[in-house]
Amino acid sequence: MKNVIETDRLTKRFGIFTAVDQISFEVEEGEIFGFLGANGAGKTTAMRMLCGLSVPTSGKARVAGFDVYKQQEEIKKHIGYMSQKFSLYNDLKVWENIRLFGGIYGLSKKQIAAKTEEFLYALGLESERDTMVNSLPLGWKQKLAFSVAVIHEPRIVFLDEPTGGVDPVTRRQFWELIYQASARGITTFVTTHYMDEAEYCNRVSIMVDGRIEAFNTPSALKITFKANNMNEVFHALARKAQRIDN
Amino acid sequence: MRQFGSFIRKEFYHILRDKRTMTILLLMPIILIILFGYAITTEIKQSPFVVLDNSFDTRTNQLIEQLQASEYFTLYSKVSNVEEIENLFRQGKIRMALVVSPTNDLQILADATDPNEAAALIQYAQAILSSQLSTFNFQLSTHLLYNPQMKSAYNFVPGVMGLILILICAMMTSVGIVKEKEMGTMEVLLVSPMKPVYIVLAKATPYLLISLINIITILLLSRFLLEVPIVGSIWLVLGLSVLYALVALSLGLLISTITDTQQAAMLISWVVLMLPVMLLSGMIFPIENMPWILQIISDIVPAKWYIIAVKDVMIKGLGAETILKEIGILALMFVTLTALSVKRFKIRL
Amino acid sequence: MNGVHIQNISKKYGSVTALQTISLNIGDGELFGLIGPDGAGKTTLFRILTTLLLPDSGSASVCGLDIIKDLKEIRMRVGYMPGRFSLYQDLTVEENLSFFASVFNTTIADNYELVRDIYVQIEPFKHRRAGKLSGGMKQKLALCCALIHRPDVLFLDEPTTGVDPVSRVEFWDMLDKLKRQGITILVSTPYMDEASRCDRIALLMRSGVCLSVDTPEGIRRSFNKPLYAVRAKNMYPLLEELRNYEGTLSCYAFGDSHHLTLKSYKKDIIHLQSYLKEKGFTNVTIESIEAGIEDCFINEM
Repeated sequence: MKNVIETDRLTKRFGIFTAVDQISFEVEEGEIFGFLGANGAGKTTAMRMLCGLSVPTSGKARVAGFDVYKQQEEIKKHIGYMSQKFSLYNDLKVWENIRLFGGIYGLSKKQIAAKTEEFLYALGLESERDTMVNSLPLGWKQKLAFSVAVIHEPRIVFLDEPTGGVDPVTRRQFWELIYQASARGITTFVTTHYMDEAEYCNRVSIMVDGRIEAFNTPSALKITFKANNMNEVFHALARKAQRIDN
Repeated sequence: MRQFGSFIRKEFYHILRDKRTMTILLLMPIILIILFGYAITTEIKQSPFVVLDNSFDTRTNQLIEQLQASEYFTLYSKVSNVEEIENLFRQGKIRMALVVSPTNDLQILADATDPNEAAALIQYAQAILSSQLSTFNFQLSTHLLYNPQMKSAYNFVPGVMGLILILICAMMTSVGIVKEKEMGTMEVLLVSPMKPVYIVLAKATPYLLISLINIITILLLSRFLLEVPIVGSIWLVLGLSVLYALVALSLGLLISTITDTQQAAMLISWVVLMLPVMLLSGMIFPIENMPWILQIISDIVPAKWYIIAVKDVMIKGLGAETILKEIGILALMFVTLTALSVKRFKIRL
Repeated sequence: MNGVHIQNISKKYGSVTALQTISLNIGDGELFGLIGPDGAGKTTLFRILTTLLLPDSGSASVCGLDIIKDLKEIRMRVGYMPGRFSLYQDLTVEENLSFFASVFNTTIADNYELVRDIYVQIEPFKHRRAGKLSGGMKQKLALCCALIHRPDVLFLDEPTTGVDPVSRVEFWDMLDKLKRQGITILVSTPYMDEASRCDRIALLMRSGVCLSVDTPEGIRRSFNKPLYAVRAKNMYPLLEELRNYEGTLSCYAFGDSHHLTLKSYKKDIIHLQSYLKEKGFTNVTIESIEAGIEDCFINEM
């Protein structure tokens, strides 16, 4: 298996504060990778470095084969990104959002038209084509946002708490979209506070105080920590956190 | 009362910690004064002038032709006495007058209510006529009406004061209140025993204070940098400024009740407040020359009345009794606007 | 006395229905949960109860006070923590707390006892600006601010959204303590696993429809079908295969297992087992389990 993300002692400091402390891990192609940790453990900072939005203080990292120091623009072309806070433009219609993001990633008019039909059909949004994204239920919005984030078939898609506040049924439908993307070879890098979702990942890492304290498949972690589920694993680790805040 | 005190303290924290905005607020009057004082000049094209010829010399006609030939002047008419000149100036029909005396003295008159313009007119006329003047040996003396020292500062200092007060009191207050709505903190404040009127007063107080600092800065700059003397009572000028600031605050409050985003509040402040102050208050363009519809609109621009009153006190040295009308109008505006915004201020979301 | 009574409250925003004839009775000192996803009208209900919004129809009372007539009295007696922790980002922790104390005409010192357990956790950072705190810390500070005037009823709108599981547990521990002090607490959450920490819960669905109101135990018991947890080596193909299975009524992924209900029971289990074996699944386990709140919610949707 090829690695699409490789980090070696990747570190980010803000003044005297070390937000991300020498993390080393790799993510395989097509893998669903859960990036877990408490608030303030350094997840967001690490993710920003991997997306080419922030320059590391030290260490190495390659994303989709590109260097995070020198090839940030190349990285951005080969990844997709969505978060709970920002995903789509609320004041644009469903099809306008698809056209916009298709355009941003350089798809042709024809490709965009085809993708629009494909998404609307797959998500059951045919009748909502002209609906303002604003008035879609959150769960539908997030499913559409995910589709848009992978509109250019990126190597990796980064998802930052994509299912927060989404109803239980739609949350599961969202994960099915992830599985489908994974089957197409798109690697998923996801953060979540739902521990049942951690179980759906091929492998997970758990960050505590800026370091990766656990890194394995969910079943292996459960054995290591003598836990019944990922929730217990998380609690066992996160309770060790010294720094309460970043 | 302690409630109120701590609310005001919080507002000061907000302002003092936003260093960039704070700097802009304090530097703005200085920049505006320097900008208006030194940088901005008025351009002159096709200015109408009259000629009063008492010499009955044909050479006067050559002067007229010379001026007419340039793009800067057009002859309005010939007149036969000084009163006529005076009247035409008052009506704004002419901008310059040539007076040739029986002893062949040439006098150029200009209206210095707008000193920049008057100075430029006279300069241009002199340049155009210079060749003639040496040939004909006329004696030249220029005379400015109304503003003998020809200080443009007389005109724009009150204008800048009107602008700054609106900007800080109305815009900053409305943005400040709307920010609480945007951040969601207004929700918490509403669900508290804090009276809405306190919330509003507390928001306004720091800005009232900052704008007073600005007024004092402007007055100091104009006195010592531009050398504009304050003829009338300084206390009356400050009192007027407070009254005008209160009008501006109530306007800001009204804007905050009809907008939900900081952007919208800012935009409305610009369009509804700033532009009229710049364009319709008489600060830049004389109101008398405006079409009647704009003249009527200018009556509801508070800055107009403030600028008139401040000019009267600061420059003409008049007392409170002469500006009762302006004070009355501003007070009425304050009461109406406050009542309207208190009525509109929602105690629910 | 300090209860909350809601009768047939409805609210629409234009053509969007936020609440549909909701009726709830929350007792004095009860810890009551509103469980439901984004868009279920939880925030609207809180705003109506805290007198910030008027309902289109229906009536409600808080501490025996009418939410329309007795606006001022209610505002004196409730504490409210809106969804986005409403703090002043440019004020420090201490300044935020002392500001909110003075808004309610009290001081930190007066009510320190009530917030002490929570405040000691953030006190080391009291000189830090609120904007520089992490989610869990902001949440604790916002709770302190909502409590500082010793309210009789506390309204918490999604206090744990976006907060990590450990901080969430700590937060609920704090709510337990507050409840023991006799404060009536109404809390909303999209996390189904938090439901069991409440005395009673209401399950709310999109467009403000109330599915059921009961104790968490009562709701779980109302799940009237046998439920099975199915596991195998390849979980995602297993999910698809279980859905294709003719005897399946419903099947949803639940972390490390899939929760399955069948059209007819017992005899099918044996059949299912051989069906899955036939399809090539290894390490198949099928185990009968008790339904959780999330199962009930999905079942009712």
